[in-house]
Amino acid sequence: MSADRDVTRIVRSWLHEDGNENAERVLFAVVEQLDTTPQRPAGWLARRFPLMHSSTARIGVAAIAASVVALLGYALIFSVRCRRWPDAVRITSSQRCGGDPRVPRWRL
Amino acid sequence: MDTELVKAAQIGDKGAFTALAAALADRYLAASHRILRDLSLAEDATQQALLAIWRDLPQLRDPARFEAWSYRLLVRACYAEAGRARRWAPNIHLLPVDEPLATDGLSTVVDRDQLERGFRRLSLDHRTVVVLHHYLDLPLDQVAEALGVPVGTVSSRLHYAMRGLRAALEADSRPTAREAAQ
Repeated sequence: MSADRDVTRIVRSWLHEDGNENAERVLFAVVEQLDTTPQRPAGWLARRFPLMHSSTARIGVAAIAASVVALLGYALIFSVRCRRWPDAVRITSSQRCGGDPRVPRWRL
Repeated sequence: MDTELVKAAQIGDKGAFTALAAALADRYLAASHRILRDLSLAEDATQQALLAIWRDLPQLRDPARFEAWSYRLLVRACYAEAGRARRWAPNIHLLPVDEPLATDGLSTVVDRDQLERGFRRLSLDHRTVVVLHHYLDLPLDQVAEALGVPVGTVSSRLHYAMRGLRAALEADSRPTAREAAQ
């Protein structure tokens, strides 16, 4: 344990020894390039409503979105099944889908 | 860090950004020099990091988190420079002359060369964690944020890095097989 502390102390003091780094040249180069480097505008995430910072609101919106997707998916599958059913099963299928679409509902 | 300067730089104030960069550049260069072990690579990494900060600053949501966010860009720039250097560097492996024999503590005087050798043997991931934690004094959670990895991964890297350094220091301070035979 004390050996670990020794290594940590030695490494820290070695890292903090004076280096000969001088960032002046780097800074000069950066400032020179600022004019030719456009800033990226804030993305859509940055323009969110403050309401979205609440986790409850986030979960609510996610739940609503999931429900809408599920409903749309169910409606799509249901309508495809009603349209593509073979003749042999059309009767049962059309019964399940609420009758023959060519016959007005009030006549049934 | 001056939040007002960050906010001004976010809306494109070049003077504010220059003041920010002047306050950061020395520290960033020192950190990247320690990570990359090469001053010219470190200068390139610092320059790229500062330009990336300028470019992406409007996307920073919370100006109070500027420092942690900017360290992430610095680390990315260091990794990019290290990758570029690796592609151009000759493929030379240094082999140890002698295997160490006896076990000994850290009682001998440790000099810079031993540490330098030990540190260079560490992977880039391990060196980065050591520099961020022991040089920049970032707590582990901020190191994790800067690296984009879980805190557990940072702890593990730090543990293995320090173990590697300790082993390197011990190995360097032990007598070599040839010395022991004499």
